Order: sequence, then C-alpha cells, then structure tokens
Amino acid sequence: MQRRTVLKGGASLIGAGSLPTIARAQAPKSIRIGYAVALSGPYAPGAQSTTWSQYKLWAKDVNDAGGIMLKKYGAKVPVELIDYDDRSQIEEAIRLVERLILNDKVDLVLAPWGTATNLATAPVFNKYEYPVIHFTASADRVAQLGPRWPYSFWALVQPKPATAPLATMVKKLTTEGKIKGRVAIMHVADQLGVEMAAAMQEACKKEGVEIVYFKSYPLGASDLSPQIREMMALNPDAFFAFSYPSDTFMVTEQSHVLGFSPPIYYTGVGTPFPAYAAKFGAKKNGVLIYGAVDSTAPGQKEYRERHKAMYNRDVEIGSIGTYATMQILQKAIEQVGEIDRKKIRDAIAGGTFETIADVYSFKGQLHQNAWAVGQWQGDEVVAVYPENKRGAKPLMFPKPKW
Amino acid sequence: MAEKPASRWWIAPAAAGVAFLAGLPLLLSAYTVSLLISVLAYASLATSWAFFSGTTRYISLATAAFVGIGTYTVALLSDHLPLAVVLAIAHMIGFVIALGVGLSTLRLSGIYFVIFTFGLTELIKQLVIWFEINQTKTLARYIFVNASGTLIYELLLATATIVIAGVWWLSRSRVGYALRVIGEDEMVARHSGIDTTRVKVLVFAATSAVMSMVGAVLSLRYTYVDPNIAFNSLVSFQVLIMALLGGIGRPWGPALGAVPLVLLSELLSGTFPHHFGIALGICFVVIVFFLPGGVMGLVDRWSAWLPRSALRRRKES
Amino acid sequence: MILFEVVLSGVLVGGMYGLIALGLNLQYGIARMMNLAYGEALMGGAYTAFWFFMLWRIDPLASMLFSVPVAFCGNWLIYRYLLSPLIRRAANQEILEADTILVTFGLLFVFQGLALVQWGGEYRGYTYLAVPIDLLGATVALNRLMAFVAAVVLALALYWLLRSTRLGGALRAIAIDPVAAQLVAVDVPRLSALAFAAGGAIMAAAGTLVSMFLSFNASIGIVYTLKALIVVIMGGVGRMLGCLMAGLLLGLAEALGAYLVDPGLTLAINFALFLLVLLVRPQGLFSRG
Repeated sequence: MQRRTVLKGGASLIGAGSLPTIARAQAPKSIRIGYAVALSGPYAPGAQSTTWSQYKLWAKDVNDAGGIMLKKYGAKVPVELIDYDDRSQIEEAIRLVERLILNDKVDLVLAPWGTATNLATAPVFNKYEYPVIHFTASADRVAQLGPRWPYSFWALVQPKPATAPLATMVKKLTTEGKIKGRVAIMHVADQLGVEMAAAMQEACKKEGVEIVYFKSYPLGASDLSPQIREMMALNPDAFFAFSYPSDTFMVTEQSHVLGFSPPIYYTGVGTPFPAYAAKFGAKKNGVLIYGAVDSTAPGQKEYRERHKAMYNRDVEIGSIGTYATMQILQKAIEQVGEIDRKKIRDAIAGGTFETIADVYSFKGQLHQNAWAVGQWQGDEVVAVYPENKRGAKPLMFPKPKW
Repeated sequence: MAEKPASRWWIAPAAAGVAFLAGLPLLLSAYTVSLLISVLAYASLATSWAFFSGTTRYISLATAAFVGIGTYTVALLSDHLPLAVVLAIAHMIGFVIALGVGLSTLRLSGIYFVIFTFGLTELIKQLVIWFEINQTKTLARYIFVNASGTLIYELLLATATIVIAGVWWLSRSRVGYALRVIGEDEMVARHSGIDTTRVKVLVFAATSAVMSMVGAVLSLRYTYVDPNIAFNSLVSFQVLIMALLGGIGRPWGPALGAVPLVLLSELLSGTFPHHFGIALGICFVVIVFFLPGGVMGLVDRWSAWLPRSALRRRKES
Repeated sequence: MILFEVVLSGVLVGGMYGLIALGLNLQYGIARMMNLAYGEALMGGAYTAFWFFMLWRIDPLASMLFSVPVAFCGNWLIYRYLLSPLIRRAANQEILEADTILVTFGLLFVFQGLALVQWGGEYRGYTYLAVPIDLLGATVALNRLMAFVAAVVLALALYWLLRSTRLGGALRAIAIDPVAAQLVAVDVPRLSALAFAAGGAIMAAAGTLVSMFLSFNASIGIVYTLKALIVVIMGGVGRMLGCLMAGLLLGLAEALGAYLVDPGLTLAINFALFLLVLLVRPQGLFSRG
C-alpha cells in the first residue's frame, strides 16, 4: 500500500515535471472533515436518515477507494470524520462549527441538518471562509443571500421553482380538458410548508388556476379528517399537501379511508421514504412528490446497493441528494488537488458536476434547474419536473383510484 | 440572618473577577467565547428563574415564552432600530407581558401553575405562527445584525452580573424575605402583612424581563428565527433542570448548576456524539443518587471541611 | 352532515387524548410520581407493534401480549429501584419532586437515545385496520374507533376499580395522603409501585393502538407526555372520568375549530381552552378540591 502510493507519486512527478520541487511536500496523513448535526433531540431522526448516514457512507466509499486524490502531492489521502452532536439547538450548532474550525482545525466542515441550522451556521462558515454545500435548507430568501455568503452553496430545490411546475401542470391538464382545474391546497404551519404553499398560490394566480381550498394546519396535528371532508365537499381534482413526514402519512391514510382520491395527488416531505412505500404498498402508485432525483443517473444503482449493505435499509431521495453534495465536494477537491478552501470554493462555484442524483451547476451559489417534482410510478420514485431535464419521465395521469 | 448586614470584604475581589471575565475574549478563541456565552446565558436564566420559582415554589415553564418574546422582538425590530433600543424594548415587552400573566394566574398553584405556564408558551407560539402565516406568508424571520461573539459575550456578562448581584441583594432585602415566607406558607405571608400579590407579580415580571433580555441577546447571531426555534419548550425544561441541579435555595445555586451542565454537555457531545442522550441521561441519574442537594449540597459539604469557612462561621456566631 | 362527521372525528381524537392520559393519571394522580419519561412507554409499545408486524406479520393487537407486560415490569423496576429510594431519602415533598423530575428527565434521554441507536431515526408506520366503518351514516376509520373504544372501556374500568373495590379504596387513600394511608395499614410502597407500573402498561397499550394510525419515531415520547399532562391537569389529577372528559373536550374543540374557524388555529384553540378552564376552575374540570 505504502509502496504503491510512492510509486504513483513518482509517476505523477514525471507528469508534472514543470512544478517547482518545493510543491512536492509530504502529503497530509488524512483530510480531516468535521460536522455538527443533531444526533439527539427532535431533529435527530431527520438528521440521521438524510444527513450523517450519508456522510459516513461517503467517507467509507472514499476510503475503500484509497482516499481522495490530491494532485499536489500525487497521492491519495484518506478522509477522517469528526462528528459532534448539536442536540437540535441552534446555539450549539453555531458553537460546534466554531469548535471544529478553531480548535480541531479541521480541513473542511460539512453542512448541518435543517433550514434553520443551516442558515444560522452560514455566517460562521463564511466568516472563516470554509466552503459548504447546504442541502437540507429551502427558503425563498436563500436566492438573495449569494453575495452576502460567498462560501455557501444551496443544492436543494427552493420553494418557487419547486411549485411553479405544479401550477403549469394543472393549467396544461385543464386546457387539454382532462381536469376541471380545481385546486385544493393544505400545508403544515412550519417554514417550508408555509413558503411552499405561498409560492404555489402565487404560481396558480399567475397561471390563472382556480384554488378552491387553501388552509394550514399546525405541526403535530393528530387528525386531518375534518379538512379532508371539507375538501371533498368542494370536489377538487388536484390536491397539494405541503406536509411533513408524520402528516404526510396521516393525510394519505385518511384519504384512503374517506375515499378522497383526486386524479392529481401531491404530498410533501416523507412521500418518497421507504417507510411510506412499506406502509401504503401499491396505493402509492401515481402520487406526486416534493423533490426528486434522476433515477437513471450513473452510479445510483451501485450506491443504493452500498447503502443497503451498510445500513440494511433502503434510501430516500433526500439521502441521495446529500450524498451527491459530497460527490461535488470531492470532485472540487480533486480538481484543486490540495486543501485550499478558496480554490475549492471557486471550483464548486464554476463547475458542472455529474452526481448520482442530478447534474449540478451553481449560479449565484444556487443550484440551477434543480429537480422539483417526482412521482411514484410502480415501485420506483421517478423525476417528472422540470420536464426538459435529462432523465425526466412523463407524468403518469391520472393517478389510479385507490 | 437574612437581614443581618454582612461584611463587604468580597466586593473588591468580585469586581476584579468581573473585570477579568470582561477581558477574557482578548485571550480566548471564538469557540471558547461562545462556550462562555452559553454558560452566561444559562446562568442568567437559571438564576432569575430560581429567584421567583425557587423561593415561591411557583414552578414556571414559561421561560421559553419570555426568551422567545425577546428573540422575536429582535427579529421584528432589528432592521429598523438601533440595537440598544431594541434590547430595551425586548426587556420592556417581557416585563409587561409577564405582569399580565402574573395577574391572571394568581389563583393557580402547584402542578396547575406549572402546566398552565407550559400551555401558555405553546399558545403564544401557535398565535405567533398563525399571525405570521396570515400576515407575512412566511414563518422565517432574518436577523442580520453585525454582532460579534465578543459583543454578545459582554452583553451577557453584564446581564449575568446584574442578575446575580441583584438577586443576591434582593434576597437579603425585604422582598427576598417576603418571597421566602410566601414559599413557606402563603396564608401566613398574607396574615403577616405582606402584599403577596404585589411581590409575586413584580418579581415574576422582573425575572421574566431578564429572560426576554437573554433571548434577545442570544438571537443576535441566529440569522434565522422561526416560532418553533424562538419558543422552544426545551429551554424551559433545561433551565428548570439546571436550577434544580445547582440548588435553588441560594442566589449562587442555579448558576452553579448551569456552569457544570453546559460544560458537561459540551464534553459529552464531543466525546460520545452518537450516545450523547444516553450519557447525559445516565449522568442525571448518577447525580441525583450520588450528589443529593445538587452542586450547592456539594459546596456545603466541602466548605464544612475548609478551615477558613469554619473560622468565619465561628466569627459570625 | 359534514358537521356531524366532524364532531364524530373530534370525539374519536378526544378519546385518543383521554387514552394517552389515563396511565399518567395513575402514575401522577395515584402514585404521586411526576414521570417525564412516561411517553417512552408509548414509544416502546408502538415500536413493538411495528416490528412484530413488519418482521413476523404478528397482529399488532397480539403484540400487546408482549409489550404490555414488559412495560409493566419495566415501570415497576423503575419505581422500585430508581424512585422509591428517593422517596425514602427525601426530607420533604419539594426535594422528592425535584429528584424525580431530574431522574425521569434522565431516563427520557436514555430511552430516546437507545431507541435512536437501536432503531434509527426514520418515521415508522404501518397500515392496520385502516378500513372505513359506517357509524350512524358517517365514515370513520376502524383503527381510530378502536382506540376510542379502548379509552372509554379503560376509563370506566379504572373508575369502577377506584370507586367500588377494596384495592381502589386503598389506592385512593394513597392518592390523598400516603402517610395517613400507611397508618390505616395500607401497603403504600407496594400499591404505589403497582399503580405506577399499571400506568406504564396502559401507556404501552395506548402506543400500540396509536401506532395503527399515527406515525412515530424515536423522539416522539416527550410529545405525548406533555399532551397527557395537559389532559390530566385539565380533567383533575386522579380523576379517571375527568381525564376522558377533558380529552373529549379537547378533541371536539380541535375538530370544530378546524372546521368552523381555521385549521391553522386548532392547537391554539386547544391551549386557549385549557388555559381558560384552569382560570375558571384552578383545580381542573372534574376535581372537587
């Protein structure tokens, strides 16, 4: 192993003969990468399934392959993860990022979990000029934060582009005479649900689509049947719930029981979870989903197998997206060939990255043309909108009655 | 004993200590400063909480409500007004709302008061959510104040100093005496001519205002705030736990609970990141069983061994 | 017609609220222990039902044969080895309360942490008896109906037990004054342990029933503990029927509020109702205190 590294180093030395010899310094023993996410408290479940499980899987994959190639030293360098528990608290998260940067002096720091935590730690990342790709963060304001935080990148689809295709879809089906175009919207009273619903409302207004029901419900509601009954009386043919996992499960089951089955049925976070598939079986077919990944992207099949081998469970698309951000980071590091955070930042900002989820390119540090809408088709989550992207599948319409 | 004027020998060293603490950010890394920020914030919260709840036995879970009110005041006003004014307003709003709450909850006692204050926090949170959804169509509020860790540290140090000194001074005054009598037996307090209502409500409002102040200062570097973050019931429980751990009988007690708990949490979350909850839980059980009376109990047992304090006791008696 | 259906679903939800509060009412109302780890029994019951169903296709109702006795024993052990030493040691009620809050808060962290390590963080749920039932012309889900029936049956049974049996009389004596109860030859430590353990067992059963229609994860316990506390306090500590009534009231207010006012305000309406009840009747709705 040691010898091979040396040989490889020698080989690239000849290739890079024009470099001054002083650059041929000893390669670092490892690339130290830290992160602070919620490992306990209310955010812990989400952070585990979407975020840190993927960091660990990625680190294992990288180290199984010998490490990340650093051109400057002509050697593959393994990564070493340092993890902290932010206990689902903002104040802790801010402090732990500082701890990683100032005390542990890690080479890179990865993003935490959740919109609030990502936004609250962004100033710290940017103060110390640590490039970071935020994934589990979606808020309208993010689009304007580029110049303020040049080291922060935002990879997830944001509320406006996530909902615009939905309104267009309803409009198109209405003009084709397939539906009457009566839209019912309900949303959870939390930041993402509220911003998604507001963006959807605006998009519908722009498209001239009629909204017959538009109401929120509190986070932690334990019954949504009064709302479903009220909607059923209004006879909508497109239903959109901007929901969180527990309410996604609940509204779906209660729709089954009450027989609420409009031809367009969309639910939010939680819809693509393996637990959702296990719970609802064949009834999931045709349900539309918040966010998506290109299921035909190169490497995704192998990734799913590695994930299953490591965790003994299936993945959800959010995890695939998180893993993709790690691939972007890795490619940027390899392109730069050393741990130079300014150069890595520029490489992310300027590059186009093929990953297991999507092809990423950032403009104003915001991922452009991100996947917005997916759909359960058979036993698979496929990407539907934006329809002009590689890997997009045609919409399945109507959703089969349940 | 409470009214007896004590010697003031410790004032000079205490002042020197505070001055030293104020200078610390010059020597320490930003990380250590932010660790101290947590220590100071929780020490202030626990001290002010215990001054009301610990002495009167009215256990309040509304800490999160008042912290949240401070946070939200900053979120609403920081773009429009200078920082000092915003902080003053946060302090005032906390005071006024606490006055209202105090007046309306007088009839409650025991566990009914505890759960009432918890429900109140949730109600405020739900109303803020509802208001934001219907008025602003988003729950997100952004705070872009250019406040460094050092500034926040100094503000909290000032708050903590004032709170601890204030509580120390008040607990030796008539107010503290009145509170203790109320805690012992409210009926007796009323009969001995104490205006229990006035004392309770005013102290509740004053300590709640401190909580709003702490919430306001902490939020200066959150960047992003929504009602679930601002009105986080976990904070109420944490403060309660710290105060219980420190010992609520004396002004220093709660702060002595906050310091080790913040440090212990930091240590555990770094050492056992994936088993933090389990480790912390076990620590709690161990502490209760092997450290009865909390940190103050420990201090008492130690000071009994120290010759100097024995000497002082002899002098006092 | 819709209004009737809304009222009905409110009643069902209310029954669930009552159900999750009954056990706490035994633990806090009778055994006089504030157990902040109470909701973890619900989590345990829910996970048991889920894994038995997913791995071995065992009927969730049958899984109670396992989870309920385990919860009973677990809670008994907690009472016997963690809480009663504190009772013996405590100089007064305040110290005891502070100690129990600290210990059960610690247990809450331990159980939640173990579940997270053992079962991961994902939301879990399964489909069982999610079938429409026609009830007086309205459609309801069978699994929700079952939780409601269980709540009513349990509340009535506990009410009868406490009112009309010797054991119940002894338990009520403990609830009112443990020291006096000891004097009239009631075996206070044993019966308190029994009440505490039974409370945990009921919560595990509630967990099984609730898991049939609500998804859950490792950190769900505290949510239900706090909900149960609200219901117990509103109904009156130690009052089993009061507990059920308070639950029903909250469920009805929630459903009617969602339908007639704004679904966004349901929790606000619930908490406002709770606060109002306490201001009018500071000892809970159905307490004579």
